[in-house]
Amino acid sequence: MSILAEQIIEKAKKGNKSCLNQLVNQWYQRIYNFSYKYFSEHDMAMEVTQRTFIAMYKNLDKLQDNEKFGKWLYQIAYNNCKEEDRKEKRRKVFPFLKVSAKGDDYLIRNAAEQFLRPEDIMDRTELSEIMIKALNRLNPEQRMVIIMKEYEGFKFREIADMLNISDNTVKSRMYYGLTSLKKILHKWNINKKTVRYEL
Amino acid sequence: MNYKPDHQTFMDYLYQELDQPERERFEQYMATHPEAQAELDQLKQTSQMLQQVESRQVNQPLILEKAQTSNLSRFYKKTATWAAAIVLIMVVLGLSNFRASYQSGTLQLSFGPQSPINNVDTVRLKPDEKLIAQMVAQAIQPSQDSLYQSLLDRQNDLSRQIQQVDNSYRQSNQAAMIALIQDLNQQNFQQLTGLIMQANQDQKDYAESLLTDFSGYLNEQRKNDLQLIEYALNRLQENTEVRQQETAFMLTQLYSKLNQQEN
Repeated sequence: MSILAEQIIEKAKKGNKSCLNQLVNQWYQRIYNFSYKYFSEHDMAMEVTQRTFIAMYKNLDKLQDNEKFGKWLYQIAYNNCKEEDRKEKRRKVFPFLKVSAKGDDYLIRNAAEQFLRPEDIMDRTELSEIMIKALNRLNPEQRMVIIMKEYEGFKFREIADMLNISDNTVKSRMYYGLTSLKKILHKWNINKKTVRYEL
Repeated sequence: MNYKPDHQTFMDYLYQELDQPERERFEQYMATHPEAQAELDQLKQTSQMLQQVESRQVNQPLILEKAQTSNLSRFYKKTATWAAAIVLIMVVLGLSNFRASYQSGTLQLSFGPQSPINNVDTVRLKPDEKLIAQMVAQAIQPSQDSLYQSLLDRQNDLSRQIQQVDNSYRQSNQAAMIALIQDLNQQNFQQLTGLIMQANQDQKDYAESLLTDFSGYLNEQRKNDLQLIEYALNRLQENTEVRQQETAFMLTQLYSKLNQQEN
């Protein structure tokens, strides 16, 4: 961590609003994308992001080691994700066809999606969205580990610290997560040939 | 060689978290186990596909910016309020001619116009100052009396003159008023006379035109009646002639029949 970043965090801890805003500016997109990949829903991601930064604002003075600010923030985001997930499961209904809004896009998921040809899926959404949908099919623990590893670039040790689990559990979740993802993509007939991306 | 990498080792290798000796060992194993290599390739491919996910851009709501703005605005508002209050107090003090002075251990605060008497502390006048004031008053007394008398005379003269002017003005004003009223009466009389004459003339004209119209109407009516009578007489004459002819014809026929019977 640079000296400047350290100073910003230190000043923010003392209540400097300008530095707090700087931190929000630096981290907002990352936390939003982290949450979006977890939920694949804009509203939920926004909710978690807002909650994360409100928690940061309230609890920043409790942060012991400024070096760990990033991990600490992700940990807050992770806890908020779990909390929102729990709330969502409580109010979850299982319609035959679930229609979910993504900005201006409307995707018909579940039953309909499984019978679509990959070309059709590609016509409707970008690969990015498909991958997020596939991620969303994984169980939350595997999904969280994959997001932290693939997109946030944490080491297995760091993820284990943040999630408060062992290294081996993290690696196992990663392995089984990737294997499940491979199966989901295979089921949708999504591979490097069909997506036309140079892998 | 009983080495077989577990899932954790696969992950460590895939994400380059395996140390060098372990890495070499793993690669050796992969070289001799194509099914393990295939599995690794598939995991690698899945990982690479995950990398295709793009970050979404989102408009950041400035949740903390608001707080800062409100604090700033509160500070500015408070400063402006104090400044306005100070300016207002200064303006009020200036308008009320506020004075503050500190003399011989006494702080004096005063408002309003500065009176010369206020400046003279009469209570603290010394006896000789009083005497001087009395002498001055005695000295100016005769001149003040004569001045007062001349002012009174002047005032009486002016009052008399004003009275005269007022009387003459009233008299002249009364005559002028009578003349004005007479003049107005004359004008009113003339106007009324003119109006009555005009009204008479209008009535005459109207009656004349009415009579003319009525006589015309009567003439027309008489003419129509005469025409009607003439028409009726003509018809009567015609009828009479027709009946005469018929009677003559019937008499002729009767006469001829009687002649035939006789023959």
